[in-house]
Amino acid sequence: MYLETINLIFIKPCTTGGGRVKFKAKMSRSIAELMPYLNAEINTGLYIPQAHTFTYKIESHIINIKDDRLTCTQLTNEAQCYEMIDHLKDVINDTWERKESITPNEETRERPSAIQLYKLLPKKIGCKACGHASCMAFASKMILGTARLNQCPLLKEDDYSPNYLSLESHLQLLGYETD
Amino acid sequence: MDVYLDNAATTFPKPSIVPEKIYDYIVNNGGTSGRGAYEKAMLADGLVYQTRKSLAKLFNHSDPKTVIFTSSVTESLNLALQGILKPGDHVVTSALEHNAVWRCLKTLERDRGISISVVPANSQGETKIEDVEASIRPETRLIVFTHASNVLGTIQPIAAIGKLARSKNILFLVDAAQSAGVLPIDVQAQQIDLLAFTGHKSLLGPMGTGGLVVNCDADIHPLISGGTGGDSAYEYQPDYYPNHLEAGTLNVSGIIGLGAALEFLETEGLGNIRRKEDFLVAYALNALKAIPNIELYGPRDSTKTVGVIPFNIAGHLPEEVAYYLDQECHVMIRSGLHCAPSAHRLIGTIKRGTCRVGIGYFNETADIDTLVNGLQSYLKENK
Repeated sequence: MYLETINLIFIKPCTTGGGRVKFKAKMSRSIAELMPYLNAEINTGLYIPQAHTFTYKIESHIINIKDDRLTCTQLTNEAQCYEMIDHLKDVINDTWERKESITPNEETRERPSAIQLYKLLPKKIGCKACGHASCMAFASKMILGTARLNQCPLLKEDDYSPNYLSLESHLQLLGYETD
Repeated sequence: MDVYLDNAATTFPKPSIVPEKIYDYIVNNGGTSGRGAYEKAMLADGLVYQTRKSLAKLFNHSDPKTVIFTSSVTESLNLALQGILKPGDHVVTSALEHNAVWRCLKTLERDRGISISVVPANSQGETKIEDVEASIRPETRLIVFTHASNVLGTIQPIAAIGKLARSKNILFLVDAAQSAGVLPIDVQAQQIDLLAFTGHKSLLGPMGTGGLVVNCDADIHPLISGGTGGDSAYEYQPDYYPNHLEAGTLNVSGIIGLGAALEFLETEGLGNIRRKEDFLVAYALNALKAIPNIELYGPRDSTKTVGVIPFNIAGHLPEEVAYYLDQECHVMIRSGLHCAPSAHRLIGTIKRGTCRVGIGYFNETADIDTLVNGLQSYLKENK
């Protein structure tokens, strides 16, 4: 078997309400060599060859794989974490078994842009609560991974809740932590 | 050498992998499930999940998250009955139920105002599907049936009842205490909405393990409330499974032992287990016929029963027979009412009870021979 085990190494408990559990897991090997094949098979995934990362969504869950590590978001409980791990192991092993018949794809599909993030930010003039000069500057830093979403206090207000979730989803797709 | 023939109460011995895995977990891991921020606890949690998954596979259930762990089949039955039934609900049940079902129903009848209909059975413990159908009323909420009687061994027509219940939109709860691990159970094909099972009988796991497979979207009120390891700021039981119906620290060591037992069952094959037990039951029925004045109860046909053979010797008390076998022959059988008085009413043994031989996968024909020789010695000494 190509991938023998995926072991959970961290579960971030949900403290704010249902469906916010995240986990980190360690795979028994790096699957970097398999990523072009996963990229060919999962046509909504985001593959970044230089970083050895492959990220994709299953329903509301964002799965980020880097070398021998993976993370997954938006889970309800431990049982669902294990169910997801079983599923991912099957996907990886199945792709490996069929790889002779798959044409690997090295392309990086379109990544979320700073503009997309900016559109979802509060854009309150002169706010600077995040420590950046403007929402555009904050969005640019987030795209680079040098600023975190939780630095914007306005987004924690209920009115911005849908925007927060969209922003979180974009950033997690890039493999970034958001809180 | 001791001969253990009380496998209907609990199976003995267990496959050696069961204590080995429990020992390994307690000595080398020891982490709790669903509570840990460290790798060992998550490993324990993973083993619990794997056991859920093995059980789901065994019973052909699609979602391991709705395999709920309890401490016993009795708790599972209480969880289902107490968690679902409301005042005014009507329940249909068999004439063979164990007190795990019967006392729970009678308590709900007295305290919650449910009503109960008991489907008649013949003296072999056989139930006709037409009689089940005739017991259904407009207000029937649930049918609860044992899969196999713990007194007579008789297998009940579960698939036919499942089909009937589904066609009438009535929930179907099966008590698989005597059947899980020896008879095939398929919750989808047999249209079982709720399956209550124990880990320590034919599943060959340790005591203190059991569960409820929830194969329906019925609203089940939790039997207990408490910590689940997640959503801790929320003040009620979460509504997602398995946490909705599981509170407090799980019996992780027991569940890991049960998981090991399920591995053993898969390797041996349910068909092989059933064939061996069938053969031993047929062998025992034939051998017991040679005992003078023996009264054998139930179908006396291995294809119609699980490994349970109830008997009496005319003019002798079952507890005295069992006592002699134990003390003089080192043969362990059960005597009494076996917690299921209604089944004894069917065979006219409500006052004196019966002896009961419980055959398991690890028995051999030599064990039956020792039993039969013991009964013959008893009769020689107690004319």
